[in-house]
Amino acid sequence: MIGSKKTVIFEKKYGADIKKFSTTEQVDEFIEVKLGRKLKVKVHEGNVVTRRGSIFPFKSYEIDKKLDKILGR
Amino acid sequence: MPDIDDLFKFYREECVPAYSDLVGYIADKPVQFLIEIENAFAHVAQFHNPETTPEEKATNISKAKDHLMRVTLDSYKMLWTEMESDISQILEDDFKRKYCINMSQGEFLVKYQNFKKAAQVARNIETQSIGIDPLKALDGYKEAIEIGRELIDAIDPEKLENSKSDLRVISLKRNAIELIISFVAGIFSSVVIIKLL
Repeated sequence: MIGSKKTVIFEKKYGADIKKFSTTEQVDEFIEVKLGRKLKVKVHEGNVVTRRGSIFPFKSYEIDKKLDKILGR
Repeated sequence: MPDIDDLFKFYREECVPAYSDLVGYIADKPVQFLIEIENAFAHVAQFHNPETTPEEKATNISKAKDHLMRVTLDSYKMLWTEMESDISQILEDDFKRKYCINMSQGEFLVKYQNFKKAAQVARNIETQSIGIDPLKALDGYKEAIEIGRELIDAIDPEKLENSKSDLRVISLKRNAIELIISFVAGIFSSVVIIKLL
């Protein structure tokens, strides 16, 4: 239900109440304490598309393509 | 047309929980999420730009919400693909499937099929509601992830950790038994041949 502010994994895994979190930064801080390390920025594997010919390396992601491939669509 | 309060309400009530589920599972920050937040921020900045017209402000808020909606849905899709990858590693390995899950193989397989089916249903809803209400599929993806969570919970991390050494011990035992059987068979054959001669 949209607007119910519930999580599927986070609250059960970490025994937390999502209603106490208002920003992603607060989530990061909480998880970092639980993990005992800083979170690293990662590219979601297998769905990176590099556009050739650009002056700067351009990366976009195609999660839909990856999902459809797994689902056989 | 959403206003700035709607935008941040959506951020708190949908975006943050989606992000916490994804980051809570993969234990890292996906760059895709950061890109969308950056894009949304650019539109919010334009909303607060004194030089933009009321129409431009409204358009920018709408675009900012589009980015937040997209990243919310994408967070669940990324989470589903991550879970699928972890579950597949168990399913594709005979030893792990037999010894590393606290559930019968049949039950695990049926649940995995339900996990995929739920994602297919969500994906169908999503593609059918493009441009109308992209969030219609949100509950469907959450449902699929809930099934995925049950599958992940059934995986015994300790058994999985020890699976390599356990497999090595089993292989050694099997080789030893085969060696003994071969040895006994060899002696038996020799005795039979000697008696026949």
